[in-house]
Amino acid sequence: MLLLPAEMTEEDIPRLLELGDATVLLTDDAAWRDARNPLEILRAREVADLLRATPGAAVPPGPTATEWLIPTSGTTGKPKVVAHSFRSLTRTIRSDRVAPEDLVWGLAYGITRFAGLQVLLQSQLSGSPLIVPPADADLTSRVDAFVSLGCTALSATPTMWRQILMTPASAALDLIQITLGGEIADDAILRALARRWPRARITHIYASTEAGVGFSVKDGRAGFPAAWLDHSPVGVQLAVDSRSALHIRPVDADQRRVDGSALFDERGFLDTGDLVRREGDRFLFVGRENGAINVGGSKIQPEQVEQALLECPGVHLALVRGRPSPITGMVVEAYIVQEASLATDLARRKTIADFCRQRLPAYAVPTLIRFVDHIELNQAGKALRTSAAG
Amino acid sequence: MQLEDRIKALMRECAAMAGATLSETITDDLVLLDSGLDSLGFATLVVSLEEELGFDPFTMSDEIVYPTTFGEFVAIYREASVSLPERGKAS
Repeated sequence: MLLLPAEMTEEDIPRLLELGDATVLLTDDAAWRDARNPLEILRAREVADLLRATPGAAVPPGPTATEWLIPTSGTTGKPKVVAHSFRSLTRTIRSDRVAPEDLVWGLAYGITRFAGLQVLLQSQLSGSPLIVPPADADLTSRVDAFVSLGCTALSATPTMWRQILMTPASAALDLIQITLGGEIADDAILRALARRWPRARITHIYASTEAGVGFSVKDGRAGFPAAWLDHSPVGVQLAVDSRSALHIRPVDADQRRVDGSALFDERGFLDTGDLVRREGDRFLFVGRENGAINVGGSKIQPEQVEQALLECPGVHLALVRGRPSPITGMVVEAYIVQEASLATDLARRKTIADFCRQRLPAYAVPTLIRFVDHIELNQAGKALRTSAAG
Repeated sequence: MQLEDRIKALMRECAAMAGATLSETITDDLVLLDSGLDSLGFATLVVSLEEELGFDPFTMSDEIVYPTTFGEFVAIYREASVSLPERGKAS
């Protein structure tokens, strides 16, 4: 079963369908058509109507080893597809005990993403209700739905949590479980949430589509205990290599990449590509090894933004960096060497931002554009990321 | 208030840069998330304000309160500005 996130582009979908060997497409998009694929197309509405019209028509599920194919969010624009078994998907979900009666989950994520699936499976397997707002609802509307339906447990990214804290309606939310994931959870947001909801248990989760759920941290502090390298948490082993990248070996992990490339090394470890830094008794997450900038959970490669900038008329050189942001974790910052212009700085920045917006997703558009006289290049002629003159 | 005007001006600039429509009137009661700026817009505003004012109140304190209204947003900046040396002060 291949899950197609709603924001997938028309270019990506046919390729993914082929990768997944799809034969039937279930969609709520009445306009879907793709002549290339010999697919049987089922409209969700028709299926729902059919089931309603003929009660008892639903075939009870038999034992089927469904492989769940989930596209990663991808940093280079071409998502990879990871195949999970039900076991690897639900590895860390405790379904053996009944959840407290007052636990009511809210879905803040899209349902086709790994994080959204975890919330769905966690709630359903432990017998808790799940509030599912309309897929196109914005965060404020979702919070309204959560408040009116008595949500007490919520999983969201740190950026979404900051937004929730800025939403007046959230004052009426009475949470007992707060879960964070998808971005680095810093001490600032953890403390802000603890102050706002002192009764709540706060958990931040280290997980990815490829790794599955790695581990969860419940002590209210950013990062994870350095002691976990020697005394690992249940179900996973951790290691840090000489490049300061985190490797994890989840027990019982049988997920695989659909394109056949290896996920785990010969010892069963996965290179997460996340860099960590030791500070006292903690390891803190400091960013992606490949330099990807995580803007509110969406990742972009600086090189991609630079390429777009270099296509802008008059731009000679461009250097793109991530800049820490207390709102979205990071934002994109650009240094540009551009030919002289009579236009104001503001007009020049707007032209460049508009140009980027047509070529890149919104989170990849530089939020700060600085015009400089020169940018240091290294021996290979590439802009030096550690310094930008100006 | 000079600080408030500078913040309003930058909000309009950020909205223009993002191609977003900002509310006609910006009052103290205006709910920030209803103003027309989204999370990314606010991140841009905070960065622009840091460039112009020289400080970012959200990283100056361990006990950050996330503002809900425009009035609260300005207050956070005003409080932060008085705890700075002369250079960063805004009146």
